[in-house]
Amino acid sequence: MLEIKNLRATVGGQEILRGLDLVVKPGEVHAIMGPNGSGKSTLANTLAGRENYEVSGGQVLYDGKDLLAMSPEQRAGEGVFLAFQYPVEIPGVGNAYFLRAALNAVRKYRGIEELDAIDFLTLVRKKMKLVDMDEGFLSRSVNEGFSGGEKKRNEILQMAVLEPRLAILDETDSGLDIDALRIVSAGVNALRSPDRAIVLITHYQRLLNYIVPDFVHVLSAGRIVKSGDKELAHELEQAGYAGFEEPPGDGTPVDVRAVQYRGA
Amino acid sequence: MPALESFSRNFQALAAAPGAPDWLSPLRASAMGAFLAAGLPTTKHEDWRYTSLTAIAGTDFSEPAAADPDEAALASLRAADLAELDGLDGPVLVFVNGRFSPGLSSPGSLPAGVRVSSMASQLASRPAILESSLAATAGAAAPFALLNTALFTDGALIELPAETELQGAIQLVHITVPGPTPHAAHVRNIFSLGAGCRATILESWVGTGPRSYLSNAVTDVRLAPRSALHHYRVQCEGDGAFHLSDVRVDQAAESRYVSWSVSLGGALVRNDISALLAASHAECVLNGLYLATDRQHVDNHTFIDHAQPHCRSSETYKGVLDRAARGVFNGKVLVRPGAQKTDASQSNRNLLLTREAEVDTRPQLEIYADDVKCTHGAAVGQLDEDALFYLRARGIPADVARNMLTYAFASDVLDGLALPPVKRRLQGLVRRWLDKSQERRG
Repeated sequence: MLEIKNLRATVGGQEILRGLDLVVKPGEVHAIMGPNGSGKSTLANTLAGRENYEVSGGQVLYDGKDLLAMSPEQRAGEGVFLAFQYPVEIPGVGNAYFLRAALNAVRKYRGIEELDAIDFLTLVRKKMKLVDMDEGFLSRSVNEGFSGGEKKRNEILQMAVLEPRLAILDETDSGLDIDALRIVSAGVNALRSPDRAIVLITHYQRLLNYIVPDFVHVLSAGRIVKSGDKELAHELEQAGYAGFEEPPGDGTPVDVRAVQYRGA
Repeated sequence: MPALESFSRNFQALAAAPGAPDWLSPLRASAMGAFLAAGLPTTKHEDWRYTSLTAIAGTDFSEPAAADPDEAALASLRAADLAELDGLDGPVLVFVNGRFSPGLSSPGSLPAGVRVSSMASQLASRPAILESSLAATAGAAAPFALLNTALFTDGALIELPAETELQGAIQLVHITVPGPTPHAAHVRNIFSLGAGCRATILESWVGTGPRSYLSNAVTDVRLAPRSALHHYRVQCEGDGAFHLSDVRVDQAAESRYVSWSVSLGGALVRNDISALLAASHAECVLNGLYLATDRQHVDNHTFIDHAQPHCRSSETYKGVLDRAARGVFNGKVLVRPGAQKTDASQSNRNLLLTREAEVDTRPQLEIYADDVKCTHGAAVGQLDEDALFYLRARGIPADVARNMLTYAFASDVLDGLALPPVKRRLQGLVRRWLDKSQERRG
């Protein structure tokens, strides 16, 4: 489904991804772990098509198609979904209006009939139960004034509504307390299916207790340096990323936060 | 200058017309003299610094056609989505090319003592309120108000006796059906509310097609103690139109003036609102929204004069400028000596959709009292790229996403709008403008 070959990407002139390879098949859940600065978010944003992430080499095939040649909205139409690490607040745009516009844009792209307001409401009510959101959220502006947990639940709600085939969850666990983490994880698990692939990008093993991955990869300095099954995540939890970080002096920024939070 | 010459010709024709009331002639003559003596202001004039009148100065404005082209007028109303307003009671006065059209108007039912009539029909009776309005203009330097006094032929005269509460709204619809040569319509309105009155007046200005014409409207608003007026101005003039409007509000104690000025059409637009808070506990609320594209030029000037203590004013103007459009906002708040406990706030925010679009925003606070609360803020920005990407990442095409964000920016000015049918119409007009603007971007 997703084939990343030797992907290189730069942000602000600095090369962050330095030859990344990854193959994801339908039904699989992959976790990509790594210290801050290793390129996790760059990977997520590059796959979603964010403008200031410049691809300087390599290839990404999605169902055999050149993903990198598509606009962000085409990618969404094709079934790629990015759950944002920092969901954007959009004052003045109602959540329901936004969700329906997104769903109908994607349906239109896929050649499916658009949903009217009533059918949409029925659908969204059902999906909201997945992430334990009440209807009040529909009439509020997109993410405006939402707590960290509410924003992440709103991301999973969007995922549930849009039914992507490839979901990339960028640090969806960050900023969540244990209850919110459970709700969000349950929502994601409910969306696991044999024809849907999920890529979890995370700093911590904690999330993987709730969403159990088939594969775990360690990202360091823009490359996947080790792959394994879920046991690898436990090893990382014990040993930290120390063994995978390049020694200072080679141009890789040392991430102080990664050191501080280790084992927290 | 062709414009001045044609104005002079119009003036002579008006003076020679049979049935011109005697009392009016000297007032017109002195206003015309003052207008011609000063000429059209140039950009050297402080009030016209960012707005050049060269295009107007170079145009020959002949008299508007006398016959009512009612059918054409109705067609332009429909084309502009302004034909019907469901759920809004009250009289509708329609003016075509600056003249009252009885055929298109509907009187509605009004409480006793309320006068809602065409200005032309009242001239012979020499209404005292009109005379004082014209006299007040004579001393003013505003050039187009002088020109208006010299040349106005019609407008709306609205008078409410004390303690009258009007449901619904009085609608004034001004339609221009431009002829082969440019013409000018000088419209004079007077809205006078007696003590304790409440009313809503909705003015719409509509024109279609690319042809050039001039609308020059002067409106005097007199608010007696405790009265409240909601005044909506919706400007959807044709692409070639020059639209000049000057609203002068005189507020007595505890009166409330709430204005919504929505400007969507026209080639060159200048809207002036000045409010005099002449007695304590008066309140003035000015809301404005201007959307401009292509080479449109929209200038909003407001002046709030806090002459007495314990008055409040708040002002929120927002602008969206697309393509090579240019916006101007000049908002002056004057707090005179002794106007203690004044509470004034002003905000102007602008969204530029292209690199070519431009806006000049000038908040001006002049405060001569020491116990006041005054705030102001001005901002010019672009669409939030993060929000745009977020919407696109959910499958919403870039141009639709841009429109959603632009609409969200613009429409919150309309959130506080009290009359649902008017709110829906204005929201619809903003959406329609955005869709058209998107089509043009192609």
